[in-house]
Amino acid sequence: MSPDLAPLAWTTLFAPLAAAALAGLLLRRRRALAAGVSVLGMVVGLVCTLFLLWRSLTAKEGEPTGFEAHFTWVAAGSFEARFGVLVDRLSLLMALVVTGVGTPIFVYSIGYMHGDEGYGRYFACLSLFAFSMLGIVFSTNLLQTFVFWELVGLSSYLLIGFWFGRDSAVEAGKKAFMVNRVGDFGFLCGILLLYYAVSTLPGFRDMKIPDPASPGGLDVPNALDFGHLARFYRDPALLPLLGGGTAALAAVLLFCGAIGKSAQFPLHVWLPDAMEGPTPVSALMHAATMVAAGVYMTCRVFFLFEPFPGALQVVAWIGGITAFLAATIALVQTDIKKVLAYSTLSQLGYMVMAIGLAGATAGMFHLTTHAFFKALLFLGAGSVIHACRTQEITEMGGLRKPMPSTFWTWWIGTAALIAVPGTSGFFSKDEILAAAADPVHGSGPLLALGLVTAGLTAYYMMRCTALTFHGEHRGHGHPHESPAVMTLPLWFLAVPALFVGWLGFPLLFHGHPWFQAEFNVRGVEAQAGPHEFHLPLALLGTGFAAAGGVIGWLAFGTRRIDAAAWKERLLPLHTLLARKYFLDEFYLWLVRVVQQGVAEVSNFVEQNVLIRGVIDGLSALVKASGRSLRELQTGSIHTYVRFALAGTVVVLAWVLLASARGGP
Amino acid sequence: MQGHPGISPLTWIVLVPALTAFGILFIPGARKSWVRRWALAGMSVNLGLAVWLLATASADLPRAEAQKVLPGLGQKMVWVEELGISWNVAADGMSVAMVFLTSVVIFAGVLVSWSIEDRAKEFYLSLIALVTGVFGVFVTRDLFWFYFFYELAVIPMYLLIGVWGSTNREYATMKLTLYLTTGAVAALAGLLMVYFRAHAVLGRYTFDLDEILRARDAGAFAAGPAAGGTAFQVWVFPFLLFGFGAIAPLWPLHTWSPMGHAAAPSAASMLHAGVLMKLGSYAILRIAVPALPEGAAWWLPVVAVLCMFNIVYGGLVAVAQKDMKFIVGYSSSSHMGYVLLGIASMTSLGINGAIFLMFAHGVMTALAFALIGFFYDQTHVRTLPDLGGMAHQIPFVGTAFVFMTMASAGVPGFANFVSEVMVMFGAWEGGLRWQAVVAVFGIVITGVYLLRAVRGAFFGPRNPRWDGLRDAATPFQRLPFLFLVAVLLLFGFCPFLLIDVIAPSADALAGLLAHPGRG
Repeated sequence: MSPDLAPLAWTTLFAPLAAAALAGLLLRRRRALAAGVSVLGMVVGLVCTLFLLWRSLTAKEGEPTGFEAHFTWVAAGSFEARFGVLVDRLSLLMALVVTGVGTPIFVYSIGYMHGDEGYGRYFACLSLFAFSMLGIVFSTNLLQTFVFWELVGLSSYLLIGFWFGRDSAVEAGKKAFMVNRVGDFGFLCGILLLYYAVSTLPGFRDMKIPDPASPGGLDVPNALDFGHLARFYRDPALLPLLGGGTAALAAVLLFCGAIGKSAQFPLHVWLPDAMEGPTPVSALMHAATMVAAGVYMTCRVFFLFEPFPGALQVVAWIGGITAFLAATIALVQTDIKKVLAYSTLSQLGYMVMAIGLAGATAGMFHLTTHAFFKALLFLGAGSVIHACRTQEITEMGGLRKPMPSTFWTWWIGTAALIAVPGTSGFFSKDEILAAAADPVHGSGPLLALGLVTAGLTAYYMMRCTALTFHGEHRGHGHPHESPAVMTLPLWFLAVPALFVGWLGFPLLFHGHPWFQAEFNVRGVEAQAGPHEFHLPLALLGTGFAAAGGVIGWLAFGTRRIDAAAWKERLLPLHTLLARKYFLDEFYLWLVRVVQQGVAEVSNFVEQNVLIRGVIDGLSALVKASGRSLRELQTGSIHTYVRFALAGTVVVLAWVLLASARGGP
Repeated sequence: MQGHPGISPLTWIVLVPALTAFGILFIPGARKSWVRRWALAGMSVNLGLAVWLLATASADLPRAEAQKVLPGLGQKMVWVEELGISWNVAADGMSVAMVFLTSVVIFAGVLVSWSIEDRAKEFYLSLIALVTGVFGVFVTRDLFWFYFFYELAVIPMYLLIGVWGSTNREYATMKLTLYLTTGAVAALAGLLMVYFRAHAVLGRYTFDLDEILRARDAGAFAAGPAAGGTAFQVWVFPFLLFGFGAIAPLWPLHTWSPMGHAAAPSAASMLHAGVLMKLGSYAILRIAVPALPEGAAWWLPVVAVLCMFNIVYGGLVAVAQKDMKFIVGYSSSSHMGYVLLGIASMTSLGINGAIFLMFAHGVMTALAFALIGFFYDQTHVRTLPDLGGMAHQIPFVGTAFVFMTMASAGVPGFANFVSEVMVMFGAWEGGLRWQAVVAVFGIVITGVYLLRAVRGAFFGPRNPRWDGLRDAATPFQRLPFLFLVAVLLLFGFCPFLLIDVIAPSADALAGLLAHPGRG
């Protein structure tokens, strides 16, 4: 694994950008070509990533498992911002997720978006997103991450509001952009705080760091660079020089970016609205990759949190609360995409919670498995929406016979999500629960939260599946299976949804030799190791899931439990959940009342005080004085003579007095 | 004459627009297309000169380290010996960046004004005369000519807004001209105080900036018994600061700006917001800070507070606006707050970011007014509630508008992002931590009004009222927009192209502010 392989990484990163430029500028009319170029961009990336990953995994003992290549982007004063590619197992794994889930989704889009006006624009934006996401994945430093963070936000805005003729879509895009911006505010403040706190320390400036570009030479320590920061943080002599309070605060502020991007409470409100975008977009961005960026970034800078239990606690609890909260809201959703959206929020919560419990490997593991089965579920939902022309599960049903591919792949995805033993989701969720149960870093309350949420997950998925696919069709049309260009990606994704977990199964491989998300930043040891497989815990988790699943099936599949009656009985609770705990109302109030209020006050000051008051007042003053001075021009000789006389007297007096004073 | 033999390219940069304007005088008013083509030709020459200058600067500046000035291009020709007036031009990184900005904006501006029919000859005459003034300001090293060109850049604006403007144009143009002239007079008072003080030390009168700086080194502006015990710099600097600051626009002296933007015709707004407003901060960096560094070090912390109002207050007022030109106008006020913050940080990074932002913002705002002007010419309506769904009818303009919005919002890929980040980092580095936080918060406010503007004008259901709108269809019509977007993207992806050129100037200024006692 050496820097000679850097061109492969650069190609992976820039191929989608080239595709976006081509598709956007030249090929808007030539739809097939625009789509083809975009798919090609992704395939190229996938191939390069696979090759790099293979090389990394087969690296011999002592050989580096990664490398870095960068160049100087901005240099002013003593400040230097770099741009580069950091290739290690963590970034390669994430790149694999992006390109591995992205390629089938790009292909699926060919069918799904067929006939749409903005076909070319769609692929241009989607490729732009792929470029932005890979930029985060391969980023070597905090500022580069932030750059691509913003670009991902831009892509999201463009794609959510893709059908810009629809007010709800435009509003949703705006909301996503703004909520992300709030998170980005925290993120950038965190970068500023951290950068200056660290770079002003002599201990940091004196570090001897080998230069990746010239072997034997020394690099200049850069407080934005992940490698340099990791080196500093892991040095027991250097870290104490940094104030604990400042460092913990910086870590939490950086995490704010993740709260926004990964839709954690309280900045989760944009994700359900983001379902306004085309379903493949929801699959790619809002399930598998973009929202996972926050999790990835937090893993990447895990060393910033490790020494500070307080910061870790913040992360863990925000994750846990999100997981539980979102699952409860999913219980009552009737739009299939909304169910999946809240489910995504919930699973993201699990990932974040895992990191907060010092189980970064578990978090990345779940990110990977989730990417595959959630993308699969979203694409399946798209297939169903395509067939039934509605997104309401109350109008679906009876799709098992007419849509077999969609049906079976949906069940595979659901099984993985519910964590049926043997599926990928089972292993990854178990790792998270194990992290919560860990005697050192774990947390009892969060373990309980995790178990209950697992039960809720099974319940709402059974409800959704039963209403969507089973029973009689309640709609008006005659749904039929989607074309191969849409079903093949479904089967393509079903395979990893089932089997990716085995790559991480500890008993089989004695601790993840294949899937070892080494937070291996240039030679520094991995800190977050995998957990052992705990049979009792696995059984407990499965038990909760089974309980939830059985109740869900009884209520909606077999109608043994009267769901409607229960809804009546628990109406206040149901309303609370259906109205998403009134959080949307709260944010709307913030915007309408607080933001508008402050703006109107400022405007009032501007218009009335500064403009009318000061400026117009000044001009009125000038006019008035002009008017009064004009009175002097009376036209009467007598007045003029009088003034001349008076003036002469004054001048004479002044001259006499002045010469008297100036005299001896 | 010293320096460059013959006529220096820097002198040409001022001569070409002067000759272009002069030439327009002789073209009959009825031959509008001749006027337009002549103007375009002239400004294309200037664009070429500016690009050449930028390339030369990139290559030569590391070698010109010592003087921070491009060698061989400056020239000086004494004019009025007794008063010390000479034709003195020189270029350092900052000037090069500003000249490049001006040439980009006026090139696009000439193209955008192609459709003006009413008195086209007089319009182009005023426009080119104005831009002659601007170019002059950016290359001159003589304070007399500086003031001359400064006024030359303001006065034609009175005509441009008063005759060819729209909303409330008489009030707006009167206000703008009086306000800016008052500021210029205040600055003139400051300049003259410096002039006379320099005379006391040098023994002769001189408007030459370099000689005045030498006088500074000799202690001409130092506080001391000779000064009557008062700190000369601390008293005089505010004349220059607030005089030039009026055009910057430093809060609370900004109220002339949004109204002026709204009333002016497209090309005038482009120049006004894109270039004219940069004259203020340029003058502060070119004259006020180098001549009176101790005064600057004393007063810039005040600027650090005032610019917060620019950023936040300007942004909030923009949120409350419904007229698109007012939104962009207050947005400009807000962005210029970042420039002032960069200057107030007194660090090389911050000052570099400020100059880079002057460039990036200039191009971006020129694009904004060009786009608004394009559809306003057809709709005669610019208020958000009345517009809507125009992306259906004019997709090219809509796309360009989204690009502009993203640039203004500080999305990476555009030059504005890099410059704003440099300002934020520079501010933090310079100890202005809370200001940096507020500056970061500013990007949230910016997002609010910009997205609202895009949504209100272009997105939403198709509005049949605008079905007759014609898009920018021909390559010629699209050229100004594509050109401006391309510039923003180029310097967004490769910011080092400009940053490296500006760096020596920024370093010098920061060094001066850090050690005001020494030269």
